[in-house]
Formats: sequence, C-alpha cells, structure tokens
Amino acid sequence: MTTAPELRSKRLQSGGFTLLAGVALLLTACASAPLPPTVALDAAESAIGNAELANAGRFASAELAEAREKLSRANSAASNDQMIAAKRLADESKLAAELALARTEAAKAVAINTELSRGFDALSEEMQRAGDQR
Amino acid sequence: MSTTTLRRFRFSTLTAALVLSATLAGCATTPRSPAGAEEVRAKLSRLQSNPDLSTRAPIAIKSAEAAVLLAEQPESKQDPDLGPHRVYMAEQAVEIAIAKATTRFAEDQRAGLSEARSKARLTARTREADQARVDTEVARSDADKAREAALLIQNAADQDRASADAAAEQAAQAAAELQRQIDALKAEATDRGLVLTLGDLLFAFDSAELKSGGTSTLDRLVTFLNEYPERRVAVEGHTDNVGSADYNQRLSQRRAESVSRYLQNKGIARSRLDANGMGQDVPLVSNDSESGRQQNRRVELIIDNPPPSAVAATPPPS
Repeated sequence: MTTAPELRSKRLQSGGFTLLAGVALLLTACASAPLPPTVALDAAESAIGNAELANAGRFASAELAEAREKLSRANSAASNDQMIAAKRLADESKLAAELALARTEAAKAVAINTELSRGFDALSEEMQRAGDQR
Repeated sequence: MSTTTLRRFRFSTLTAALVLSATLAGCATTPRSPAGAEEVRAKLSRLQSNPDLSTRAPIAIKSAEAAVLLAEQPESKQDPDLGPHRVYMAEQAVEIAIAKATTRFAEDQRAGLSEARSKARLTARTREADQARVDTEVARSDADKAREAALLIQNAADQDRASADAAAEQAAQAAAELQRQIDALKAEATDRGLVLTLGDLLFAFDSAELKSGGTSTLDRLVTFLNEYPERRVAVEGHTDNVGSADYNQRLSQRRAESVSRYLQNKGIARSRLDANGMGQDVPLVSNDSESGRQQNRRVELIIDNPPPSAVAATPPPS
C-alpha cells in the first residue's frame, strides 16, 4: 500500500513529465524544420510569375528584382539545409512579388485616371471653346 | 497529510512555472519589439487613418494588421533573424495594403470621372442639340425667306405673265384696232398689201389737181399712217384708154405725185411714199363702157404689209 505522499510524488512526477513534454514541444517549434519549404518556394515562384505577367518589370522593377533575389537566396538556403531561412526567404520573396504586382496595378490604375482626366480636361476645354464661339 | 508535502507540491509547481517561463523566455528574452516594428505600426496607422484608403482594401489591411502585430512580438535571442523577418513581412503587407487601396481608390475615382465625363458629354450634347435647334430655326427662317423670295419671284412672274397677257391683249386690241382702221379706210386686203382705191371723182377732168372736199379718204389714210409709222405706201396712178398711152402715162404719174405731195403736206415722210404712173396698162375692168372706163381711172394706194417682225424666226441660211 503506497502512502499518500508517495502517491502525490508520483502524480508530481507525471505532471513534471507533461510539463517537460510541453517545453520540448515549444522548443521544437523554435527548432529547424527538417524538410525544405517546397510549398513556400512554389508560392513565391508563382507570385513572381503573376507579377511578371502583369508587367511588373516596367511598373515595379525594384520590388520584382527583390522578390527574385529573395527566391534565389531561399533556394540557396534550402540546398544548404537552412530550411528555416529558406522558408522565411521564400515567404519574403512571395510578399515582395505580391507587392510588385499590387504596385503595378496601382500604377496602371492611376495612369488610366491621369489619361482619362486629361481627356476630360480636353473635352471640357473643347466644350468651353465651343461654348465661347456662340 | 503533512505541511512538507504541501510545501513540496507548491515548490514543484513554482519550479515548473519557472522552467516554463524560462523556456518561453528562451524564445524572447527581452520584451522589446524588433527594430522597425514601430515604423511599420506607424505606417499602418497612417493607412488606417487615411479616409481615401482606409476602407478600400479591408482584407489586405487586416492581413497587414496581423503581420504588424506579429512584428511587434518581442525579439528572440535564440532566433535573432525572426524579428527582422517579421518586420519585413509586416512592411510588405502594409505596402501591399496601401497599393491595393490606392488601386481601388483610383478605380472608384474613375467611376466618378466617367460620370463627370458623361455629364459633361451630356451637357455638350444638350448644347449641340440646342445649337442644332437654333440652327434649324435659322435654317427654317432661311427657308421661309427663300420661300418668300420664291413667292416674290412667282408674283413677279405672274405679273410678267399678266403683263404679257396684257401685252397679248393689247396686241389683240391693236390687231382689232388695225382691222377697225383698215375697215375705216375701206381698204382691201390683197397679196400686195392693203389697197385703197381713190376714184376719179377726186380729180377734175384731165387735171392732176385734187378736188378739195374729196380728200376725206386721204385724210383717213394719213391718220392710219400716223398710227402705223412703219408702213410704207405705194401710190399708183391709173387711167382709161382714152388718149395716147404716153399722155395717159404722164397724167397717171402726175396724179400719183399729186396724191403723194398731199400726203407729204400732211406730215408723212417722203421716204415712206413711192409714186408711180401706171398709165392705161393696168385696167381694173374693160374700157368698153363708160362705167368701166370710170372704174379704171383711179389712184391706188397700196399700203405695205408690215415687214416681217423681229418675232418671226429668221429662216435658216440655205
């Protein structure tokens, strides 16, 4: 028959194990992932492709270049088994590419408006002149 | 049950808590956010307080907000690259949100621009339509004027026609008048013209002198010739066959000239008169009887038919 303190001690031990396991899990979360971040790399590549399709090379070339550079560094890191760095660089590359695309679209939208308002001004001017003629 | 057990339990719990906190601290020793996190937060705040952009990219702004929150997590000593990575990611997310909101803003503005444009176009069209209406009215009034002018011309033409009709009427009247005059002359229309015959009662026997009082016929002729100044008159003297032909020739000539002189004295131009003695060679009837010889002793006044008028078409040269 075990004494009450013994029982408590056993419980404590099991509680400590749980805690340790939890700590280990937390540590694992901080530790490096064993596999290359294929999904993140693919996503970055795809985002760069989208930006290129939208002609980001013309409207946001710096952002696009940064995305490409980050992807290349991500690939290098992955081949050097630096999977955390590879994952982060891939994520950064993806976002850089998305920014390139977003800025390209913004630039286009603004350019269209500028053109439109120029045409509008011309139209107004034309009408003004037409109005003055009478 | 003892207090030591309880104490041990408390101690172990405390230890565990310490260990846990230490472990957590292993990921973030200092409670400081990484460099650049503040700036990213400021940038996001500016975006969120921009009335043009804050509502225009809600999903991207939400993502940016999450990324900024993550970037604001305390730095980790074990993983010094994590903070800058998160800051970078937050920066990109905020910039993406700004760009997307800008795009959307531009698109919304464009809708407004198009609306203003349409409105302007409408105004322009309305003005054009008004102008067109004015033009139409001007054109209509022009057309009215043209119609009025046409009417005037028409009236003038009508008047012309009327005057032409009047002229025709006049001509007809003139023709009627001529006929009346000719009738008054008691002239006879022949191929040579109107022939007026003065009987021998006008002259004394063997004389070329006109008897006074017998000139009423000649006076009618003068009136007629004054009325129709383009007409010429041939005066032909004729005799019966009593006496020598030579004598009769001279007598007929003198009588013709006497009549011609009389007409000249009444104002008829000499150029319009042509006096000729025809002698006894052109009798009207036989000289066998006294009444025949009387008829043959005469002076004929032949009034030319008027020269072919200018209205008549000139014959084509053959």
